[in-house]
Amino acid sequence: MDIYLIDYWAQSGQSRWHQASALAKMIGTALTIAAVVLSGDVFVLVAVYLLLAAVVAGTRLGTRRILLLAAYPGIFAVLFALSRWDGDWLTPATIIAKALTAALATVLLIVTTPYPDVFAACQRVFPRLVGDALFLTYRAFFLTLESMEHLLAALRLRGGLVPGRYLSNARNIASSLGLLLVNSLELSQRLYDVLAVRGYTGRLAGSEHWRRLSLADWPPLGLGVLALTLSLAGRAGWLFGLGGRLILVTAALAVLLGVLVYSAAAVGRARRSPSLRAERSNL
Amino acid sequence: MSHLHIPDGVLPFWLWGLGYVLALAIVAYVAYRQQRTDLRRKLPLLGVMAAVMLVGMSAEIVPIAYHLNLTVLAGIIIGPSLGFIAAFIVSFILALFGHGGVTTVGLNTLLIGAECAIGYYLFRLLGRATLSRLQSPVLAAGLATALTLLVTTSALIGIVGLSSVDPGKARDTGPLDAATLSLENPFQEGVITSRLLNPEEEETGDFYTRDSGVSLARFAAVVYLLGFIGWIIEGTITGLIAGYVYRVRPGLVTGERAL
Repeated sequence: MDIYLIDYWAQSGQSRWHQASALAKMIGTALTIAAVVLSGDVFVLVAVYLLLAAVVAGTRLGTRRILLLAAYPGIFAVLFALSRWDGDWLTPATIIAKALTAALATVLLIVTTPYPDVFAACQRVFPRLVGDALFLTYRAFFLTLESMEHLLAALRLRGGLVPGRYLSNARNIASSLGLLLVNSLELSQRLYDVLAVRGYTGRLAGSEHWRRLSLADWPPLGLGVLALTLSLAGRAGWLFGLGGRLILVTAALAVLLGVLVYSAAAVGRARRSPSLRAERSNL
Repeated sequence: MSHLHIPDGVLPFWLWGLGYVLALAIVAYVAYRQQRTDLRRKLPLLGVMAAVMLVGMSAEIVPIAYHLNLTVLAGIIIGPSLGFIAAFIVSFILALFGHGGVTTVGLNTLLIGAECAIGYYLFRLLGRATLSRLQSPVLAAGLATALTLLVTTSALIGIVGLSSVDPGKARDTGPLDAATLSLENPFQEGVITSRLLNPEEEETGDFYTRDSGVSLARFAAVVYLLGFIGWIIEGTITGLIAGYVYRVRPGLVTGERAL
């Protein structure tokens, strides 16, 4: 998984979705998850998923990678769906669609919103200890993940992971994780020292950026309201049967394809732009 | 497999809602109690332990759909109270990555927090008996991990059993009959009918009613079978990590915590 890219995407993205406030995106995500919770209609879930995928494509971050990242819970959903197999393909399809749609909604939030903004909003709700620990955990997570990747690469290069030697491999991996743990504890010590130098007295100061509202907040809010409306309409039987549902999914697919074509064209235009060419020639 | 990877919208509201209430109540209690102590040094340690758990959970052993949890190790190092806070943080961040549902954060916190606590006490119990003889915590940590995972996996199956959800009915296709793909008049009950607002009037397909024989035994068989392999892997790795840490920082596993 390209987890380390999440932070980069959230910080470096320039899309309109990135410009929306964390508060609006969190409300939009909550509405979408509420839609997933309430809906048992696979067509509605697929339509919402396609709309979310269209937004992901519109952010021009890395559509395939983000969709793959959000597909991770699919592994477990398949396992769960298989255990609930009742001879009807709609049952596993619904479970998997629920997993993928909810996961894509949360992943979209986290790849378009810098984590200090997300956790600053959470600090308002959680106890101080939990809110501050969230910040530190998320920061330490990416550092630890990078260290782990380096350790595993070093282990492979030095012959520490040999195919077929399971016990020896397990011992070497465990030693690497142990080393990672000890290094992480030293990291926590350094982190404490840095916090102490900066005058930390038991409370981290959060930013207020997360709740600055603007016109860019309408799209995430609108998508959340649309998802919930579709979900409620599906439950109430207002989607006009299979035909209505197929039209809904086709429309969502058309939106996705439209955004993909538009994004590809925009990327092509940007590559041909004189300013970018000049920048490249300078490099 | 010790925590729920069930997607949003499958478990009934009363169950995940109760999970949230219990988890947040325990988190609030622990946070309140911890405020009396010096938090400044504990906070970074809590953060990195939760991060190490997240790193363990991000490495997937695909053929058996298992990942390391390192929850017992976290319990051994930071204790059951801070372990519970770490459990909440890990569950919350995992949900943000789409790993498990947002609605299952409360239940996952209870399961992972229980792992930290049970693992901590089992390790203390087993460690007392073996540490002085073997001069190594590998056996105690490995056994504590495997036993803890057995308990929490059983609790997980219990939660799924309690849920009484029949995903065979966990969908609503309106006038579309899923079995025959035939349509009925969507307005036969009038133009404005809301089954959402009047759930008691719902004829069939109630999302939260089990009536088509959900195979809990099948689910348990799958989870215990894959889980058993996972417990051996997790127990071995946790034991070996504890052994390594004991060699370089014995105080961390013998109770002289860095707090």
